[in-house]
Amino acid sequence: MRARTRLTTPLIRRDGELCPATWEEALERTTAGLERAREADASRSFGMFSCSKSTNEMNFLAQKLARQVMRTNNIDSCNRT
Amino acid sequence: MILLWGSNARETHPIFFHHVLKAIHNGARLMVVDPRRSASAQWADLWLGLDVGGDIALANAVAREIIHEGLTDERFIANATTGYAEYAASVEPYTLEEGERLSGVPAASIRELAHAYGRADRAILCWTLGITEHHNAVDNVLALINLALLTGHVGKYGSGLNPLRGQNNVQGGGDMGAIPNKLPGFQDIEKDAEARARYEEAWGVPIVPKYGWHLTQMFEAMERGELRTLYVIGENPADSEADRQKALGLLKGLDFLVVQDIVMTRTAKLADVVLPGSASWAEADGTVTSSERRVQLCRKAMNPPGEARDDIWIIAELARRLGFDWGEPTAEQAWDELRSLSPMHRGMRYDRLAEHGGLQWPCPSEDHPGSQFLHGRLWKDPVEGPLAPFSVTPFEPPVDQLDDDFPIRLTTGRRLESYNTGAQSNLYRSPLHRGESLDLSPEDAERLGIESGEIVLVSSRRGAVRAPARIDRNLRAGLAFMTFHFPDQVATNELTIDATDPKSGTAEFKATAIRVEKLPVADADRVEAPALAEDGDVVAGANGDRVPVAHGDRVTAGNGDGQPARERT
Repeated sequence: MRARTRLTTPLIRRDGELCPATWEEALERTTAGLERAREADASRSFGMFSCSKSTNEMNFLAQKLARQVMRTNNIDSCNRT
Repeated sequence: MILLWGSNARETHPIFFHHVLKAIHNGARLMVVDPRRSASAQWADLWLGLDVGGDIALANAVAREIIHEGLTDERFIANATTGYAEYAASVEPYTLEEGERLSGVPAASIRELAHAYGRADRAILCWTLGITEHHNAVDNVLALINLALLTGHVGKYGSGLNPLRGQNNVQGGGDMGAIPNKLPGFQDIEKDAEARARYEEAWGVPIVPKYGWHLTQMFEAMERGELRTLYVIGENPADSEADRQKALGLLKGLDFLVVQDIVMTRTAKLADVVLPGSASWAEADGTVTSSERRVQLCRKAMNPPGEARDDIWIIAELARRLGFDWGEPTAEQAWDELRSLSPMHRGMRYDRLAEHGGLQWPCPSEDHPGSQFLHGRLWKDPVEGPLAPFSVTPFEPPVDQLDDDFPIRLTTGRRLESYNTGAQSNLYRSPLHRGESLDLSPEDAERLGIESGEIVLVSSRRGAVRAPARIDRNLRAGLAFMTFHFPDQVATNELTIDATDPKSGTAEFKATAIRVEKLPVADADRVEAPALAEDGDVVAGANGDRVPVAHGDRVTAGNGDGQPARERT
């Protein structure tokens, strides 16, 4: 649980390298990326992979993000491998 | 009777296998169908060592024998099924001899399995990826279902069809609609207009009334340049996809990749943004759903480390910034929303789940005790709901064919102590971790002049890797085995083929054609070692003793038979 390799800070790619960032920066950058995809028709331009080791609640909200917010059914998880 | 078909439950589902061992202790018979004489097969009364991909031929031959010996449950077939006549005709060519020819299983064993399964009072048929990681995965599963319908071993105590799921919540993930064709509660997006309307009313937006793309189709869309943005939560496709070089190239080509995870996976290293999430089984409240449809409640025990946040918080934040304020839901609030929209979960309040130690869906109301048998309805007279169909399942060999250039059949799988691409299981040291190896039969090793521990070149039509060879007496000539647990050391998925079942999108991980070659002496040392050891680590010495290593020692993978190499840096 506390392995040194746990991710403990958000990271953003700057000049080709992943660098530590604040949550505000990371969420803003992510929002911008998802918004661009949504404008370009997310049902063709966007996809989500969700986690089969995570809770039902997380998976429920992940697909809600895909379907309600991004307007796409392109979400999948390990169900087929 | 317990029939494990394409399942090495002893290593992959050890808790479930405890129950199997208790059953054996109580007199149950265990039969195992697996190309390898796996750890599970070694506990069995009968091991059917079929050729990789021979499952349908075996199942059809078993069916024909059951029919010819009068071991069918005629009343059940008449009352609860459709399509029997066509099915019976379709398996008629699969005599015991033909079954042996196509599957590699001796006719006498096919007969023994058919009689045991046909005569058993109670029989459970469990399968996993040995059945589903094929280009004809859906047909493989249908062929097994046919056997249960033939004999009535379904929908009643001690009998049934049970796919043992892999990840601890892969069942739940699907139930929650994290799949492209179903809304949460397994409600079909295209066929269930009423469900769509319910979600549209709850969420205030139209639901796209067409199936979305599954994983494989999303990769195909990346290849076409259509899918440009990907949001990955707790998945590592850069290591877990078949034909790894291809998958890596496609992920690198995206416009925008955001990865939410608990460790820096190879996929995360490619991302534009990495979001540190929570290890949900300890760091979040929530429910998970097991292979027996049981939804169980887990309680948060600790906070995620550093600035890592709860996954739900992250997703809700993004939703809010994208124009949808969900009001910072707790896990229980998210679950209650799910219950209001999913009939099969409706009765599963958190307090009921806690009180009953979990409830099995369907659980349609708050006074419903959950459902012990999913298909019990087939035993009602008349049957409730639709009749269960037999399916015609023709035999097809694997796509990656063996020939003189690639004469050995490689099949891949898991080992007890590791998990998938090792994103989590390689984070802790274990004396059981012995690194990757190419497991060869004694016959092939002798024929190729390869010794245990020797680094060899393994090639397929898609790529090549180097790996230490290891001799495994549980492999027959012509069959080799590798896992994908140590991708930094041996990237097994460089070899595998992404031939997928068009209906399920599952790749044929189980059947790769390979060539194995000795390396020139100078090259033989060049295999990457796993991470540097640290103070307090021990490695297995030549005599099974524990040899301490110090920080900075380089430890290469032990071959299980000899001393691992060590050198100070």
